[in-house]
Amino acid sequence: MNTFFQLFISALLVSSLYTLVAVGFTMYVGVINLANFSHGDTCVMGTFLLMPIFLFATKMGWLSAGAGLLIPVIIILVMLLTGLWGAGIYKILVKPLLVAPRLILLLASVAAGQVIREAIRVIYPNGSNPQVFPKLLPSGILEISGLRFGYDSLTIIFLSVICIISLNFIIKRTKMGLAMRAVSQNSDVSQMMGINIEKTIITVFIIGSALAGLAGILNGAFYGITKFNLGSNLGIKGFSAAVIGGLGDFQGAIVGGVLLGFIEVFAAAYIPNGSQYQDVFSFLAVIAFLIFRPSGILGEKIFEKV
Amino acid sequence: MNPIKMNDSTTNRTLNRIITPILLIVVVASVYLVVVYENVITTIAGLLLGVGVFFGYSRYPKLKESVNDGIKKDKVYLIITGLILAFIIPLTTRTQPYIIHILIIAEISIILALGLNFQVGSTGIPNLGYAAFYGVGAYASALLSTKFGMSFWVSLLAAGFIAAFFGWLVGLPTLRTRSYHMALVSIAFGLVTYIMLNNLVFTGGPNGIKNIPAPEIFGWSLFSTIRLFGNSFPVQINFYYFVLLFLVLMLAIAFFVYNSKIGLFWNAVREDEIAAKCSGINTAKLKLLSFAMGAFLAGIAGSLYAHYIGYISPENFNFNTSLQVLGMVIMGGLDNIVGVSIGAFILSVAPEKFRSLADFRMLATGLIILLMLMFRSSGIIRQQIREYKKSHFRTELANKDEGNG
Amino acid sequence: MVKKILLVLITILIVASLVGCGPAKPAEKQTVKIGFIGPLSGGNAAVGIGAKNSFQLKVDEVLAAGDYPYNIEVVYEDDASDPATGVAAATKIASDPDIVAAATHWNSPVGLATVDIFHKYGMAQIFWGTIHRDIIYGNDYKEPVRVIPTSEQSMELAAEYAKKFGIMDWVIVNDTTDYGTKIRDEFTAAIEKRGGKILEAIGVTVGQQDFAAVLSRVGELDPQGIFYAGVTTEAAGVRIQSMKAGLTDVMFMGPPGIQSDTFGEIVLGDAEGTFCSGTFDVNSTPEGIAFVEAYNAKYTDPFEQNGPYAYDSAAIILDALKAVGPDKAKIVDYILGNTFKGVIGDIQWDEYGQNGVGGLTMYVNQDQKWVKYEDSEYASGVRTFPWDK
Repeated sequence: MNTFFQLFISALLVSSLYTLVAVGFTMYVGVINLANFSHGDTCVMGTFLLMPIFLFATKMGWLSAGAGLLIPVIIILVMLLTGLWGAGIYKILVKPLLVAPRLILLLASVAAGQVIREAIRVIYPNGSNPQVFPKLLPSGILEISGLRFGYDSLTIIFLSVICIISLNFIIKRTKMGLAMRAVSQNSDVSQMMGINIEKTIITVFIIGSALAGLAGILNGAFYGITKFNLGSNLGIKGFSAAVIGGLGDFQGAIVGGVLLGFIEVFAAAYIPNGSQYQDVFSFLAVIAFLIFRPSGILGEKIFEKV
Repeated sequence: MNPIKMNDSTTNRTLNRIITPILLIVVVASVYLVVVYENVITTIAGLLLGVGVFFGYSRYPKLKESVNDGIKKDKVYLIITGLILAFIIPLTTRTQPYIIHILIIAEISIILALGLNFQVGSTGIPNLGYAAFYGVGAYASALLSTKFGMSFWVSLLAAGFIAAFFGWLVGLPTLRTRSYHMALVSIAFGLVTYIMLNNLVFTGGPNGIKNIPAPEIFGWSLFSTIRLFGNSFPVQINFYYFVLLFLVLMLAIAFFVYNSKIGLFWNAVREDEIAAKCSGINTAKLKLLSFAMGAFLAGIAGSLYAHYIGYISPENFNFNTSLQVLGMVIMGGLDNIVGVSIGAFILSVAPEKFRSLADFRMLATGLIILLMLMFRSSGIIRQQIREYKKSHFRTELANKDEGNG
Repeated sequence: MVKKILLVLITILIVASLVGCGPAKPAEKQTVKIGFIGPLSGGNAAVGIGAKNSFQLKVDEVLAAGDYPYNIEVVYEDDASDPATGVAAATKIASDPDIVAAATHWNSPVGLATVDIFHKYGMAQIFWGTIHRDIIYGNDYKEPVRVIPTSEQSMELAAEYAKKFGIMDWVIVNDTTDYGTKIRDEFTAAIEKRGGKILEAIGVTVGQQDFAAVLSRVGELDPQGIFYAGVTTEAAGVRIQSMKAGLTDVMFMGPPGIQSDTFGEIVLGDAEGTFCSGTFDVNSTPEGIAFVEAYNAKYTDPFEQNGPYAYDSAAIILDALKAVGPDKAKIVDYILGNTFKGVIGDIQWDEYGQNGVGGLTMYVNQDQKWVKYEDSEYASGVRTFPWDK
């Protein structure tokens, strides 16, 4: 029972990270029908943006003055920066290629991911090696009748849930959210209805990238390290989660993220020798979904546009 | 009566016939100068020569015209010149086995890139896990010949067909999904293959397979040194000619497929799948065929690599390898066989030439793909417009130029 | 446009030829080339560069002494930890008639791929970094010799210490690389030889971050010790998460692969009292201390674990070259037939060419640094381990 519970918490943790990444993927597919394969590397970008800022803050002695206040400020600042980064990706890379065949855009995003990864590795000092990531999360363990909760895992789960709920609020209740949904449904018609498509897409890119940045930071803070190539794994898992849930569907990303996290943790725990095949299980799950239910759990059936 | 004009056109014809092979020789010479010698002056001389040819070609319409004419009408001369060059060059560098090694790797890379071109170039389906097929072929061949004592020829064919089977298998999800789904499936397949090769015991795990025997031709091992007229040739040269045979064969197959109905139908699927379906093309079968054929070539390349090096490990077949091959195809020119071959040659030789910059190798690959896609998505050599002398196909649905972006 | 480009190219040509054809130096001694291959780029570049610098340091020292009969030029090639790149580098070095011997590789798959090539060209190949058994014992070649001790010896030491502390029930968590699986097998054998038990060996992948599933299994098995067979990053993850999962009173030990101070930097306080069965302790001999001083005076990059072995590889090549001259075959025979004095001790080959000495050392983590166990506050009794309450 105890083991099961620990695994459950751990699965929730992994799920929330995947969900944060998957949300971005699914929103991009929604508004411009693009699978942005550089999305995972945006997560890592977040960690590598945070480290110098954190180092600077430590050097100036601001951290000892008010760590409790400053850390959230730094995290929000980095989220903003990665958001801008995402907008930049859209402006420089995606927009000029929107007229080209989708294959070109897809391959370009794969190449962009590679360029970001390798540029981080080459530019950041000693970038090939794993970097020690600052411990941003509260440490310590909460013990309730033999069950152990790390404060750090609880913080991550809590933060992710907050983010998802507020994003849900934005999408469902605000004007911008309405515009996003409209563009997802049919961008030509929504343009005719007076929606500023460009602005909507940029907003989507900012939100998606900021959440990816947060996912990267939380990932780094929990495991204590970050590395230039962590993004490829996070990105592929995030995309897998979005596909399982149903691409283009916001709630689908959540369902997919949770499902993937649970498959991964529990398969590794309960299948003998499962840990070294952890990734195999999740990928097989994705491939199975694509063969038998390509539209995902919540997605509608795909109709091909003529 | 216009004898002068007639005379003129005959000389032109002869000129065109000669000028193209000559230009090919000049281009190869410039590449030779850059690749073979390790000193600044020859490198720059080679580059100057290359740049000169390029500018000459693009600045003088007359030259351009006669070259194009030569390429179109007198392919035979060009092919023969190419083959002669390919035959002679390693003989001149026989004291430098390293150069021949680079050339062998380039040959294998071209075979690989031709295979990927079937999917990404002709049919327009992304494949980001291509290295897995290469790996499956290499492992199948290595296992058959080391554990089951099969001869090289059996292993080679088996490698091709096993890889083709996996290609067919991976192609299955394409039937119901979109391009970005396929990108994910291929990445996932690539990673799963890598993990399995690493974890399974019978593949030798992370240490791979060693002592893979060299191919034998009627009992004569390719690892034996040839001695002729008092000269001894490095063993790499045997492999060079051996792989060259396969390369020529694969190029012939690629050209044949490109010019056949299959190539045309693939293009149709790429341009508009639904329209292709409506025109009575069996798109499912064709998509699977492009995967199986591409994987077959990868399997052959893998087998050749395994038997040449004699040792393989999972590291040879990871995501970076997939990306490298993709870079070759995109740089050379999607769906252009000559272009793809040039791209493969450049991207396999350049890293060896810039060894001191090895740290930037993967960055450069990424940048090349990215910049090519953004600014010249047609690659070095643009996809050719299909021409049919006696048009079986009245509708030219195959090749619109917009297809290149 | 064309003219401009041509102009630029011609300028480059002239400058380059000027640089290239500097004044010719008067030839006094014959110049001999030797080779070095290692991971100079990619994820293991730090190790490769440390070894490269150490190799160059020895060459410089010998040449600076003045009485060496040859001028030495070292040809450095990069294998990028990739077998395919390594094969190209090895072909380049081994087939070059001017190069007489080479010191090579850190990654075992690369070593396995190139050992045949050096044999084919009859060139002495001195391994300063790879530990896979078959590189030396899997063939009957004369060319390859290995300076670095095998991990088998290191695991014997690990098991010896485990026995000393009475920790006999172990769980191994290994990564699925050649290194991890090999360490796993050797530690298993060494522990079982001493009457201990391996309850289970659990594989993880390199790059894996979440070990909750693995550690829940470890918790059920309730071992006295966890042995992590792999390298620093994942070892740190396993250690942090095992402490979080409540496995606080077990012994934690790792192979030379975790002997980097990064381990302490990542794990922080939880690193306290973990063990590493590590490599040669340079500070234990006067030659070693001299090496460290000379190295640090010249380079800023750390020499990492393999620096001393690369340094000694250079010494072996230079000794052999001095004794028999620039003749590849003679150098091979000379190296295999003699013993050499190096910073790691007197290097002696067994019949296959494996060095027996190399000073293995047990380290314990104290204040986030690896300290030789005998010199630590744990040995002197100032600090105690959680398992001996």
